[in-house]
Amino acid sequence: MKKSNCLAMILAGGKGSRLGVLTKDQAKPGLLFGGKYRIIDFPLSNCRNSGIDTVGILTQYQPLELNWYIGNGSSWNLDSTKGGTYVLPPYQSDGGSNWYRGTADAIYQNLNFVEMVGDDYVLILSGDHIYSMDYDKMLNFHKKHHAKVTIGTIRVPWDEASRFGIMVANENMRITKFQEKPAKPESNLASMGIYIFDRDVLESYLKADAKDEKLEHDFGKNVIPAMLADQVPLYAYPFEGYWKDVGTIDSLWQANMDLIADEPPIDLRDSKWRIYSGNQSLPPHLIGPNGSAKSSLIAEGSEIFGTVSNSVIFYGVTIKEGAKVTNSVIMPGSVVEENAVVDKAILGERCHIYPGAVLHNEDGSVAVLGRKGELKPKQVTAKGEH
Amino acid sequence: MNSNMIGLINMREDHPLQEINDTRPLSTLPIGGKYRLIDFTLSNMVNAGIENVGLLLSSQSRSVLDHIRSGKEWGLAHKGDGLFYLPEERADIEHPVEGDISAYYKNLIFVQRANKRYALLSGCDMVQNIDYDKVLHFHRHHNADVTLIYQQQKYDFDREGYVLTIDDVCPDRVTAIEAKPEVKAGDNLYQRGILIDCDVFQHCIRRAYARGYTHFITDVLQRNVDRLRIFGYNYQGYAKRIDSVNSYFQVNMDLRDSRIWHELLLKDMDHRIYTKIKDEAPAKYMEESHVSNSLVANGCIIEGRVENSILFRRVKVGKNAVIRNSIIMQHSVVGDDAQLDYVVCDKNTVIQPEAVLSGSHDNPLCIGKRSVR
Repeated sequence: MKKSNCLAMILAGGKGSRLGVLTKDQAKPGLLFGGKYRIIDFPLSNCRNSGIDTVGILTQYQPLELNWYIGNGSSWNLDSTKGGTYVLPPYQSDGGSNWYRGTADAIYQNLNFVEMVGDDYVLILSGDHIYSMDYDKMLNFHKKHHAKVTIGTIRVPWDEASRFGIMVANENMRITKFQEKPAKPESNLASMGIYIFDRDVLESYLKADAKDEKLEHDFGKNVIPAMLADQVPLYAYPFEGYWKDVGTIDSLWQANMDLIADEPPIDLRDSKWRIYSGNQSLPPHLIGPNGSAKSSLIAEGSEIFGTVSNSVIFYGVTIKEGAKVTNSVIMPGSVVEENAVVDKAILGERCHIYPGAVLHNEDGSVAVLGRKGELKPKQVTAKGEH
Repeated sequence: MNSNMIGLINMREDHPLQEINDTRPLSTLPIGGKYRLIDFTLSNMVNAGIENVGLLLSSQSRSVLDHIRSGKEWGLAHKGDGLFYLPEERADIEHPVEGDISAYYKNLIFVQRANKRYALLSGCDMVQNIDYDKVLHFHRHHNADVTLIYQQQKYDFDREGYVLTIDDVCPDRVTAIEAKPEVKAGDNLYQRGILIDCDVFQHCIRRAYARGYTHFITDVLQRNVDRLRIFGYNYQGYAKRIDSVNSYFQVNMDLRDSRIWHELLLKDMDHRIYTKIKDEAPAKYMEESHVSNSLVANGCIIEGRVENSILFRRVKVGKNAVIRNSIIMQHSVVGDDAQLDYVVCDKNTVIQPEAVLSGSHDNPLCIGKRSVR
């Protein structure tokens, strides 16, 4: 069997602090999405579908749940004898123990792993985004252009460009300039935080970066600018398609709602590009005699006796008689009891909405309950109460 | 949790449900929206901590191998022990032998090598979520040689079956085993599950084979009902045998009852029913969908009306289509404006737009695999 010769390293240590209670006890890549997925399923499935067979996952913030979820990678078929899935937390060594100080430092501290695997190319990914992408096409682009580094990029609306790391590239897509969150962007080609490095180049720049204590040890802020300054051939790979950073409650809610559309922007049903996920071995869901569902996603192991519309219902959820769930995301194991109302809300895992309670924000913002959150019988929320 | 039991599943005595698919073994009949019939027996065994399972395959077992493969989904892909496929020998295919004793005899090596104290013998036609640990506890409590699982019938069954006589004096002791042409209410119907000491099993099988006996239940157990310590375990949970389109249809419909759905499929996290993983997206309900009283698997896309029905994985229901009282197996497509009532569609079936098909409660219309109507 032929090995892929491209190691993937997924940065999965991010806290996602703007997600509030939803990432209080787990890292952002472990965040639940789309009825059965966690965000990290997307890069992991992309790896699997792109023919990559060795994946390192760098964890740091609240890693327990993520480590447990990933296991040996078999859910994504990433447990082959050619490679495998390796969770790489910060560790101790003779030089002391260090938390990962930045994206570049996280890879630097695992250069021994990169060497051990020995692949000629290293694909660096973020575990924070929802998208389907063939990394093999990007690798072919990298080889074709004899690049030392290729950065995955996507065209963003001009008025949003100042929120991103922006690449300025010539007609051959060689990068001439990099601007981190520029006030006056010269291009709308945004970095997706996806990099393919030649391994030797990666090693030498990370070693140099690590020596300079003044730096933030970040790919976007330090490593890429240093390479540009040295005129290393850097190329921008133009990706087209859905790519979503669910960094805030609003964007998480919106990304879930995107899936309900008749023609959703990301196809979770493409049998040629499956999105794999950890399996719960739950039965098909049940719609009760008086239950109904419209414009919604409903996963296995749920029971719907009330009415559900414009919502994403994860696995193992119970919606009881007379309950009404609209415009909401209900995460696994939550229960909405009789005659309760949930509108425009995100319920974390195992929440409990007691009979007759109402969860809805008058000001139109998304109401959120964290894991195991409760709403007492007939309790009605107002903005900011929970 | 390891167990001192091995499992031996006999698939050679089951016959396909001809009306649905005349070549697919009963064991891989799709059931309950995402399962195959064998998933119940196999999961029950695994959930009792059984780590060695032998499958006595029939000659048509391609679909069994395709479904179970390494046994990974059931946690049976171990080093050393795990799942053992026990195929028919060529001679047995060319000259079929009656009964199960020969099959057991020729696979005694599996029992020997596993080196466990007890063997659980089962068919694979029962739909139940039974705790075999409790059966083992019962077996030990009575210091039994053999425990037969039975269920006292609430209603007339009107089909043939083995009926056990339970002793009045010595509780649970089986004093007679009788084949009855029509099982009636109150009868103790044997459920094709036997827990037996491996030593007793090996000894009995060797002797019976040497004497040219054929059927374990009659030639060994019935004949020796006085000599062996045979006990009957009355299983009181939901248990139904699939042996006809009617029983198949009924069990599927039963699963729409929340209580039975829980008991059979989601009793608790330690007693789940496992099956082949397909990585399908959650089911999608479109704007115009009306669904009630139904069981719906992942991967479905529903635009029409569905009532009292079972939709397997990746079924598509077109606009204004109406499906009532039906079972639609995986990857089937029901076209726009089609109407189905009391229909069983095998997998990959295509129902053309505006088609109208109906059967009846006692005689559902069965539509074959990959057919286009």
